[in-house]
Amino acid sequence: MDGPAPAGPFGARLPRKEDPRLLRGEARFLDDIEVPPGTLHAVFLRSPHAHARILGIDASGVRDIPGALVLTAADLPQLPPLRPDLPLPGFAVTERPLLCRDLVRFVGDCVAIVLAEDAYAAEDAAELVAVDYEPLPAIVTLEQALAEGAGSVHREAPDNVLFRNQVTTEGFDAAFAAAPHVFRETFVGSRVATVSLEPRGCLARHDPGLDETVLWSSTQVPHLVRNMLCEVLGLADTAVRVIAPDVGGGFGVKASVYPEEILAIAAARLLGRPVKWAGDRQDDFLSSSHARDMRFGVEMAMDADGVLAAIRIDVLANAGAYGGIPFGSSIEAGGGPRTFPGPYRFRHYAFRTRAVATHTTPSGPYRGVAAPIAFMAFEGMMDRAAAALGLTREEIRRRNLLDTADFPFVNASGIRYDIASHHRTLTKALALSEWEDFVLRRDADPDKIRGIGIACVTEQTGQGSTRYRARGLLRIPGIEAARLKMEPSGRATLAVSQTTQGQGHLTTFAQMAAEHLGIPPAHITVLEGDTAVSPFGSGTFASRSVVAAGGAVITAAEVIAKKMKRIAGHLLEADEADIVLRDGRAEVVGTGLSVTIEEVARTAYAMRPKGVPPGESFGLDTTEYWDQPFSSVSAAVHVAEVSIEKATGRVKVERYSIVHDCGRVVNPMIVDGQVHGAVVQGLGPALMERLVHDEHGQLLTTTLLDYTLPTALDVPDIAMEHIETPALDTKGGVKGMAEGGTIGAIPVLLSAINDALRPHGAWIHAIPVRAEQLLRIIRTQPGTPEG
Amino acid sequence: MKPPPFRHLAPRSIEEACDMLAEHADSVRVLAGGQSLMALLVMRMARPAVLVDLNRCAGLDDIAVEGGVLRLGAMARQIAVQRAPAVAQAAPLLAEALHWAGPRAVRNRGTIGGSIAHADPSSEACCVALCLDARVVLARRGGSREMAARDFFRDALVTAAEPEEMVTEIRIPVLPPGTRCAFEEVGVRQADLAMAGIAVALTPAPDGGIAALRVAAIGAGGLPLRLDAVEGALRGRRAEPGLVRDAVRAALAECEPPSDLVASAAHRRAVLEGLAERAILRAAGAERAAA
Ligand SMILES: Cc1cc2nc3c(=O)[nH]c(=O)nc-3n(C[C@H](O)[C@H](O)[C@H](O)COP(=O)(O)OP(=O)(O)OC[C@H]3O[C@@H](n4cnc5c(N)ncnc54)[C@H](O)[C@@H]3O)c2cc1C
Repeated sequence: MDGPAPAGPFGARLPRKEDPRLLRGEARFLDDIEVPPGTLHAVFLRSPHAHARILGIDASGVRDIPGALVLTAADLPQLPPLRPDLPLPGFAVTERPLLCRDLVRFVGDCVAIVLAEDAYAAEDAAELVAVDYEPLPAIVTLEQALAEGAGSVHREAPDNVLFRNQVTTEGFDAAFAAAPHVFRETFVGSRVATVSLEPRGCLARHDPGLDETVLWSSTQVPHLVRNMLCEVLGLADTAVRVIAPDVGGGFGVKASVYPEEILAIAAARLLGRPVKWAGDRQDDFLSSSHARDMRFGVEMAMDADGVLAAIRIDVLANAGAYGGIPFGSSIEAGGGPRTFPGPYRFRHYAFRTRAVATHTTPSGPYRGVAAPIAFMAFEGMMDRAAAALGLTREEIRRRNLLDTADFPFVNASGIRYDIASHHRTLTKALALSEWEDFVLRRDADPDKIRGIGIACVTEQTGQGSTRYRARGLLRIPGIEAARLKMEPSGRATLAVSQTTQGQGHLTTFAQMAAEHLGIPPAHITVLEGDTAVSPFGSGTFASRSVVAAGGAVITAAEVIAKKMKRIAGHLLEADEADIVLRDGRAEVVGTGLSVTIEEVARTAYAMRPKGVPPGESFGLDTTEYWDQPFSSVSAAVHVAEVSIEKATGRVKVERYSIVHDCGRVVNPMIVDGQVHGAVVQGLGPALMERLVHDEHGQLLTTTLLDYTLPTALDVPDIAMEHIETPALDTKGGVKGMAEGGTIGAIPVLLSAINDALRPHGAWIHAIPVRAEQLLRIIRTQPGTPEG
Repeated sequence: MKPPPFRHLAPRSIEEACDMLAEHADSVRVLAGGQSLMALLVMRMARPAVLVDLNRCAGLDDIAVEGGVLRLGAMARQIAVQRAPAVAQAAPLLAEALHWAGPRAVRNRGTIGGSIAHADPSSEACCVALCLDARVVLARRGGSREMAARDFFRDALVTAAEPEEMVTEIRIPVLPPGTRCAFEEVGVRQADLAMAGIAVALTPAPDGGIAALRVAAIGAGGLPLRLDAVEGALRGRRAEPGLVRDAVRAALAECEPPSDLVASAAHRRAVLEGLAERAILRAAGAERAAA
């Protein structure tokens, strides 16, 4: 950390308020909620085929299970299909049935809801439902979907392209043609699952007397779930309440609204009984969104000095069988080219991007979305260009990184950067990682080859309404809100339009408000995740919280602080401009005159002899909305050192360093934790995680035995330093940061592996990098002795 | 992921357990530590009507050396086996190998008998049982039999045990004095199911050569295998890197490692070559081969 420890709550390394409960097992996740009497337990009967016609469904067998019943599309005829994409340029408007009636489009598509007195009986009953399928040829890969005569997943998208976009900046062709060097490569991501510890699940209850419908759901977006329930089921938003209880991880996978949530409510309303569904790991692998089955074709044109002249990319994203809600089919295909320019200075940019439908599980957002693959491509090209031009990898980056004089900068994809510290960050990262001394470590172990890698990345965070309008995602408001209510005691509740799945909102938002209110963060209770309590907003995703909701929190705190100062000024017979709020008191600067915050609050609620100032309203209670005008862009430099065992091809991450700039840091401990977790979620896809389908579209990796996540033993210690360059475009100088660790980890690990392979003359351009591939390279390409 | 209905029986003695197994032999399974069986049940890949739960059954968890034989009660937990002084003395290879047998929490519950009876292709315990010429004791109503591990394992997840039989004991001959052991394994992750593994017990001759050698491998076939050819080629010789490498390579060329999502046959063979060489040289106390 730069500079001295902060004096106030903002910037303090406070332990998380949420941890004691979580660590003691006192949290209440969806499956811990006591179900109301009469609850039916649901199992979703899923298609075992990637593509098949449904010829008939015979549920008569479930009569053998007392109390069991089955709902198919025929039982819910009034349910309209979802329409994930809106009729806007570039999009194909397709439909997703909530329950498949005639056709299934991926292994995991819902065919029926099976309900019984408990989850065991529901699974027994599900086995007794006989569905007659006529299997049809499945389109599994990007190549298959785009091949001539491939057939189509949706009638409305005959070429299987659900979303397309193409942009060429002015003067691109001339700049590209004039450049003396053009480097080309195609980079391939691995299809991955998010694997939140807690799978999705929900509990639906309808009270006809009150006409109140309540859904507890393990979601990141309660308000968006409520909006969709109203849109699809025709319910009044005043009659629907969505509650996210403790949520055991989201990482983007729970930022979508899923059919199960809508179907649970539909079933509960139809049957007049509460309905609970606690998804299991297999449900999760089959039906929760997959991610990053992407490829980036890159053509990078450079001048003779290694300065970027022009870049053309061609992006493909396997969108799966349907677009998601609310992100539609464009989440990855749109995000790829948008995030690609990164921390570099180049103006000539051309891209083509397509989201392609296949008969596989729908894709959706996952920590970093397309950015980890975009930077794997960009940084991979920088490494290749450096090698070809005889420059060091750090030097080629220095020649292209944006510098202080460039800011504010609008990059080639139209994103504004207010301020950043790329050069300082790079210099610091090289020092932290002892980059210069790596030559001494390279050959330290005769059983291993070693490599070191570098990645300079940016992270677009805090998007507001204009960004979502521009992206055609009209179901995402983009705004956030905070209701701050100081009670007569001088303590406050802060209801935020978001919900937390481990980000530490209950601590961070309290710290942000406390700075203005002059009370300790412990006196601010943050409330989230309940549409009946939280003000309207978008939800927790895309590293928006600290910027978008934080903007609302700070604004609300400023409004209340102002009012407290007016009241305190009235009480102390001083000018409100001379009042400061700190350490639980409102004091007149430089006089020693003060009153307690409690005194001010009691005055506001008419509980003291003296009233509020003339013309002042009672109470200390406000709701403020915030719309972040510009994205805020964080940046980091990752350096990783890996070893590859010559006998086995196994990769070990030996050292890992990060220097990171996300503007002002509210709570360094939480920021460090977010980066650590994010790095692990990049290490997995880089080295071991992959979802595998067979040629029929059958998912072969549906357990944690087959889908190998890294364990603690695979994760290195991470050295981290922060540079705090206060943001100019946000409230409080903050920037979002929770995805950057993943965005940096994938490119840096690939860079380090490629460095180790340099003597063997191989460049790897796809992940996960497997021991098998490395051993083959080491054995068959003995390479040059000087390394 | 919920098991289908089953009856749960909890015998207190081996006799009672054998009676229950005989009575329900058409659809019964023994429940030991549950670390593999519960997963099979919740995925509905095993559907026994009756579970005979040995966790309250007396007399099944002793660990002792008697008459030159290490006797391991079937219900001895893997962690207890790993830490038992008797094992350290009589069969240190087993302790070294069990260290790799899954996370600590799993070894706290998982039993040695369960590992042997389950006959998983990646099982360290099965590999060591083969390597050390273990014998498996099976009880049934009114009798018991004993057979070599080599004959007990039939195929992946298939053994010679009849439905009405249960494993009561694993017997391992105490290693000859001076025998040195080594176990090596590799998975996708640092701690993982073994993709490839090698167990070695080497008894040196007074002249520094190899008096006796036993080598077993995980990942060389559908089941752990003894690499008899390596043993034959090196017996009576010195453990020199080139010689060991050639012997290992020749033996593995005859094997048919599986190809699956974890690794191809070629990769398993390549990794096993490296592991076997390393393990044999380590057991021989020889210097590592030059890279
Ligand atoms: C996360 C995880 C990681 C793991 N990693 C490894 C690993 O690295 N290496 C490894 O070898 N294993 C591993 N396992 C499997 C684990 O070690 C099991 O404990 C072992 O395979 C079975 O022992 P158990 O006592 O749990 O048997 P159970 O699961 O109770 O039973 C397994 C099978 O054996 C039968 N059985 C059990 N006892 C007897 C008996 N006395 N007589 C007859 N039949 C019997 C059962 O009927 C069943 O068919 C792992 C398991 C988990 C959950």
